[in-house]
Amino acid sequence: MFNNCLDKWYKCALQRLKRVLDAAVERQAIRDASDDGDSSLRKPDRVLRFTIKAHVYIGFVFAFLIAFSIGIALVITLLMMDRNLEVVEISNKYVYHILEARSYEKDFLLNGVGLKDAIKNIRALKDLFLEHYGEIKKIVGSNDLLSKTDKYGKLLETLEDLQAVTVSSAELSARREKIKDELQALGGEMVIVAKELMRKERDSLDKSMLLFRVVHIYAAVFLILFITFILHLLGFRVLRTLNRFTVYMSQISSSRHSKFQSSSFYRDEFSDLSGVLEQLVKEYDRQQTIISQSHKLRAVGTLTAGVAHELNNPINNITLTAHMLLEDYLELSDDERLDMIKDLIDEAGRARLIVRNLLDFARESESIMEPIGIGDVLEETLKISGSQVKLAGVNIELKIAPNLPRIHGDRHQLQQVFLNLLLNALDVSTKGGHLKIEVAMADEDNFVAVKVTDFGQGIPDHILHHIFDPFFTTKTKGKGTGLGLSVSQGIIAKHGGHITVSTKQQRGTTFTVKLPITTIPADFSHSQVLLNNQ
Amino acid sequence: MLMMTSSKFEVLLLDDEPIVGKRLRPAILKLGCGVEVFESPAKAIKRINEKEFDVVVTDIRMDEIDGIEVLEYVTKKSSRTKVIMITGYAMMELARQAMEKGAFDFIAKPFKPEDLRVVIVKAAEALGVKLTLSHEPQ
Repeated sequence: MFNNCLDKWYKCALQRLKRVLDAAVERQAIRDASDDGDSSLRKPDRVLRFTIKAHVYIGFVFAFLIAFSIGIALVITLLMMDRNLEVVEISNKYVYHILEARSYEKDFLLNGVGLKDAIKNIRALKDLFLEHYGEIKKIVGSNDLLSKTDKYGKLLETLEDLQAVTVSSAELSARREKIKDELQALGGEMVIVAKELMRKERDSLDKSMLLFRVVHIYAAVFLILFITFILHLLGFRVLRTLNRFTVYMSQISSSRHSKFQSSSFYRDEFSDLSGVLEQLVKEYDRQQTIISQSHKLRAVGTLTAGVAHELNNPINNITLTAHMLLEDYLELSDDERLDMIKDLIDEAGRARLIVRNLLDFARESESIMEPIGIGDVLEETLKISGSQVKLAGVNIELKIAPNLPRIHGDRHQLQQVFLNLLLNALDVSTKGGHLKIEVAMADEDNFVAVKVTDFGQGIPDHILHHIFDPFFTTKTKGKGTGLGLSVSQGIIAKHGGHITVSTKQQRGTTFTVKLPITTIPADFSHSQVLLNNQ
Repeated sequence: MLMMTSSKFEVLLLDDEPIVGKRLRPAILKLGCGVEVFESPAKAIKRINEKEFDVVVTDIRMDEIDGIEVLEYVTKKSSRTKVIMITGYAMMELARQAMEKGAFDFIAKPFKPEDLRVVIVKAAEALGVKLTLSHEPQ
C-alpha cells in the first residue's frame, strides 16, 4: 500500500519535472528564433534585475537605518549620562548628609548638643538610601554602606537613650565613651566610603560624557562617509552607463554597427533603454536597407532602358543569323553554317552577359565586407552602365593610378554608389560631352579617393546644401527619387569614408569619395582607423 | 525583273554591328540588287558622296555619327534616295523624328531579313522599280 503510493507520487513528480524542462526548452527555442544569430552575444536571460530605483531605495533605507541607529546610540549615551548625573546628585546628597551627621556628632561630643540633628540627618540618609537602593548598591557593590549607616544610626540612638538617662555612672560613661569611639571610627569609614562613591560617580560621569562626545563625532563622520559612498556608487553607476551610451550613440551616428555593452551583472533601467535603442537601431538599419534596395531597383529601372536597347543588338544579330541559316541552309557550305552557328552562340553569350551584369547588381545581397580593389569596382560599374553611357553619347575617361592599396568594403554597395554618381554625371552631360573618373591615393593618409567629374552646369549654391538630403531631387518627376546621394552617403559612411562635392558654375562638378584603405589585419586596422577619425 | 534605271538598283547598308551587314548582304542580294555594306558612318557618307544609291538602310544609333545625321546628309545629297532607318525597340521618338525628316520607313530591331526585304521592295516600288525575290543566290 505504502509502496504503491510512493510509486505514484514518484511518477507524478517525474512528469512534472518533464513538463518544466519542456517549457524551458521551448522558451529557449523561441528566444533562439527571435534573435537572429547573435545569441552568442546575448547574455543569459536570468540576469538579476537591479534597477536604479531599487539602488536609490536601498541606499536610502541603509542611510536611514544608520541615521536611526546613530540617533538611538546618542539617546542611550544621553540617558546614561543623565543617570550618572542623577547618581552623582545622590552621592552628593549622601556625602552631604554624612558630613552633616558627622559635624553634629562632633558638636554633640564637644558641646553635648546637636545629637537630634545628627539623628535626623542619618534618617534622611537612610531614606535616601532606601529610595535609591538599587543605584547605590550597584555602585558600592554591597550592603556594607547600608549596614554601616544602620549601625551608625543605632549608635546615635543608643547615645540619645543614654543621654536621656540623667543618672551618671562610671559604667554608663565608660559605655558612652566606647560608643563615641565606635561612632567616630564608623563615621570616618562612612565618609571615606561616601567620598569613594562620589569619586566613582564623577569618574563614571566623565566617562559617559567622553563616550557621548566620541559617539557623536564618529557617528557624524561615519554617516557622512556612508552617504558619500552611496552617492558615489550611484553616481558612478549612472555616469559610467551614460558614458557608455555616449560612445554607443556616437558609433551609431557614424553609421557603424555596434552593440551596446550594458553591465553583464544586472539589468536595470539602462538595460531597458539600451534594449529599446537597439531595437530602434535595428529598425533604422532595416529601413535603411529597404531604402537602399528600393533605390537600387530604381537605378536598375534607369539602366533597364539602356540595357533593353543594348540587348536589341545581340538579339537582332541572332534573329538575322538564324533566319538566314534557315533560309539558305541547303545552299550554304559547312564552313558558312558553322560560322553562323558560332555567331549565334557568341551573340547569345553577349546578351547573357548584359543581363547578368544587371541582375548581379539588382540582386539583394547581404553586405559582405572584404578587401577589394577600388579600380575593379569602378571598371565593373562602367560595365554595368555601359549601355546607358553609350545611349547618352558621353565619352568617359577612366584613370586608375597603379598599385593602389585595397580597401575594405562591400563590392555591390560601392558599385551602387559609383553608379549613382555616374548616372548623375551622365544626366548633366550633353551628348558628345565627356566625363572624368580618377582613382588615386587621397591627400588624406590611408585613404583612396575616387573623383567623378562632369563638365555640366555645376550646382547652384542654394541647392548645394540639400543635395545629400533624402528625397531631394532636381530631376523631373519619375526620373529621380532623390535618394541616390543620400543612400550613397550612407553606404560610404558605413565604410568609414566620406563624400565631398566641389562645383563651379558653368564649369562642372566633382564628387570625391574617400575610402579608408585596408592593412593587415584587415578588421582590426579598419576599426582603428575609424576610431581615430572620430 | 523590270529595270527603270540604266544601272542596277543599288542599296547601301550601314550598321555598326558587323553581323548585321554580314547576314543581310546575301538576303538583299536575293532581291537582285547591288548591295554595299558599311560599318563606319564616315566611310558610308564618303561612299554616298561618290555614288547615288536608290536605297540607304542605316542604323539610328551609332557611335561617331548617328543615323539621323546620315539621313539628313542623304536627303540633302539626293532627294530621290529612299532612307530606311533601323531603330532600337525603345526609340520610337527617334523613329518619329526620322520620319519627319524624310525617312521612307523605319524598321525596329530585332527584325527578320524578310522584314527588311519587304520594306526595300516597297521603297523600290515608290521609285517605280519592281523587285522580286529570286531564289538563286547571285
